[in-house]
Amino acid sequence: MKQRNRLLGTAVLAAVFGLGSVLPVAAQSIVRTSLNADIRGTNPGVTRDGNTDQIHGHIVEGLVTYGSDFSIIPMLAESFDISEDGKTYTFHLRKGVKFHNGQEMTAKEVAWSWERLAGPQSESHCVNYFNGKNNIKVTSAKATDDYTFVIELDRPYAVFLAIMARFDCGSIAVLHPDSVNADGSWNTPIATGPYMMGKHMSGRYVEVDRFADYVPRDEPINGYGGGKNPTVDKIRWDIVSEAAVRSTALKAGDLDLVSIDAPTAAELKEAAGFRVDATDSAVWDTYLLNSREAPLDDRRVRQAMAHAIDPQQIVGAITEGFGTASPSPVPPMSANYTEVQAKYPEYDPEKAKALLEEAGYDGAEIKILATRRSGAYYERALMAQAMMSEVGLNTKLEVVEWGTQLDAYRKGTGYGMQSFTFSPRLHAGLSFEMFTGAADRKAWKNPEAIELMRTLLATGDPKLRQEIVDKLHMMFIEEVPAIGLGHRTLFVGMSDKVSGFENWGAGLLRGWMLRVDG
Amino acid sequence: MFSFILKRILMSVPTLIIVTLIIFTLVRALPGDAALMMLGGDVDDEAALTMMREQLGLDKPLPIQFLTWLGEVLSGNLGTSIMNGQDVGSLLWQRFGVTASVVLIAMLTSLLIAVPLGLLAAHRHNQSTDYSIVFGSIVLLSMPSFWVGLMLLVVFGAILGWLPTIGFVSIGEDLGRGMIYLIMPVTALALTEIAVLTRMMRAGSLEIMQKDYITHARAKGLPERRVLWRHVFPNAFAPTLTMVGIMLAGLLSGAAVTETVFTLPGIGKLLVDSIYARDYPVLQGALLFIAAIYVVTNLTIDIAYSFFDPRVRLS
Repeated sequence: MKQRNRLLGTAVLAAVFGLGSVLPVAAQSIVRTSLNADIRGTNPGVTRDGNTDQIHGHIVEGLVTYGSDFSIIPMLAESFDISEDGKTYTFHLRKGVKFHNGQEMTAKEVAWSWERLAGPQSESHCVNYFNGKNNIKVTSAKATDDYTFVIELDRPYAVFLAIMARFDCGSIAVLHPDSVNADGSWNTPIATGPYMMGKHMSGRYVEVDRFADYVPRDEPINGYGGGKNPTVDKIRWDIVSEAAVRSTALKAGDLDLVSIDAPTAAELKEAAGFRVDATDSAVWDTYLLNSREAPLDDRRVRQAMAHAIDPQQIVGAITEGFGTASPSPVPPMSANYTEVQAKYPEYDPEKAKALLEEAGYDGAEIKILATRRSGAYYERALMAQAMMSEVGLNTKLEVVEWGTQLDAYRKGTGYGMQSFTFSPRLHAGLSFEMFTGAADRKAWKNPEAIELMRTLLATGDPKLRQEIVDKLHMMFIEEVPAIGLGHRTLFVGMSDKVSGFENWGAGLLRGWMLRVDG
Repeated sequence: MFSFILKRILMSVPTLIIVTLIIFTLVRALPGDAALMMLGGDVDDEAALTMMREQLGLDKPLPIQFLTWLGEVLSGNLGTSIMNGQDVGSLLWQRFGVTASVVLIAMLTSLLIAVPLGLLAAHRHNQSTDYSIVFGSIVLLSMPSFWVGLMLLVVFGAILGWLPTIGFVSIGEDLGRGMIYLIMPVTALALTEIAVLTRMMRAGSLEIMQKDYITHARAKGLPERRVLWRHVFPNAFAPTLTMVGIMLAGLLSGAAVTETVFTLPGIGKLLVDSIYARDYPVLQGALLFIAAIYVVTNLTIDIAYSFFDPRVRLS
């Protein structure tokens, strides 16, 4: 009805202005969704941010990617082998995979792409994961025949494949050399993904077009991999920064699929013509504590804070009842999440008061930093503040702009507690690494925890990995370097003409699953 | 006239140079790390941060960064965006075109409505027409622009479905569709402008109507319409024109709220985005551009003033 009104309105206005053909031309199937800011560019792993990675993920593919439980699965590789010493990775490539220019992918292009993103001339920030500056060094990466690509490391490193699959590294995208100009400068991605780069109007929208000759894998969809069978001809992301405008556009039929907040999800759930998807992600909402400054340098004060804050109440409130608390840094969908990770200091204000008394807490002020950015940073801080005041903690909530808060985070000073969020870490070792280490910004500086985390990142033994994850978790809840809240529930509202949508832990849109009626 | 314009342009050069220093200092005083923002905020990799700072030129001392920027500005190069690598100069022009099309149409529409309304209100002073116009102006002034924008979107976009709620088509690209996309943002801007300008025009006209030459004009039998347009309007319009200048400069500098609500890729939206992203080249370039807009708009208004008030001489 609205679309009919829109056409009628457009026609009337066209007549008023005395203008000719302004009516939209019926064409290919399209799904219109949105981004809150424009993309940074089209060069995967180089010109990137969270928004941009989402677009790149439709265009490019790497040798491996993440499955739905964050295990590493082959994508452009048919399979891969890891040598017994853990230092040699052999990728057996799929045959018949086509680039967007129609040429077949071979190990030659894989080697060229590796050199571009991980070689000495790379402009990607991920190069440091491969050149020895940040842990391991790749000593050799070469094509041994048309369909075999071999990488050798200077030492075993269990998360090597997980880093290769990282979205911010463009999944070390395999690109055709024609993606760059003759002088080596970037042109456009010619890759193997189910969609090709379409029109990009700066500040307005970005489109991807279905790649008709895409060759899918045989398996069912699994996380970001498996058999991708795109049917929608075009996906368009309009740049809409305001959440209220996005939901209005969805209701008006100008957008088909939109990330929404919890109150809008609750409202849309009851509305005819729309559907809501609520999926727990690996995005970790937490309160980082500054253990280096008084009074939080006393473990008992931090433990008191953990007993004073009820994660379940807060998560329930900010998700309108959709979400549940999961305080462990390891997300529930991880293969390493067991009953151990479900353990957490229970909500017990009396125990919190006793701990404060035992610590001799004298009412010293604790500064809480939060921002008004979307993601309920402020609301989370406000609720925690109210709960902490109940047990006698003296807190001051300071609301700052996101850049200012990030500055305090990086310097590790200027706050006692901050309402914070970590983007998805798809390996249990990385889940601890994000806040554990010697750098100023890391909340947990316990040398034993740092050493355990390093072993966790290096080991390929599943049993040992689980043992370390469990031990780290128990140390985490004892020392309380941060107070875990939950893994964020992501809400997506959509028109009922869109089907096939399924969200997953990493939260990146998988446009190849979408179907559209009419 | 020519020497006046030349003098004013030359006078603006030192102003703009001082402005560059102030802009650079203020922008760099903002807390936050552009490299960290670029990498997503919660990165664990110090080497990547260092590499990003080097790529962005943020590893050099601030005075060197300022002199490098000033040198580039003086040679007409505003640099490239940290966010997307676009040339800042062309980005500003592109975004300014969007803002200018909305603002100028809104201002023209407002003047076409506000001037007759203001004159009418003054002519029917203390009558129901006057009260209605004054009441309407107060109502319009009281509505926050963000709310007006959202209400327009909800009513004409979501409920009636007459107009698109998001998107933008340049009138240069497609005149028909471009006009359709402009209706709501122009209306949102014009509503506030109409209110302000109507009140200014009414107050100015009331003052002029007390003058002896208006009584004289009426006494010699001139029709009231002619008295209003020939004698009241030119004299009452000068103060309104000053207000037009101030409003125009402010809006051309970026109607950020309107642009955000209506997803217009204008200069105000660009400015806000560049602040959040700590995109220093764009932020500095945009602020300098805005300072230049104020200089040019004030100059234009000064020149226009002389046409309405012959007592004002430009020499």
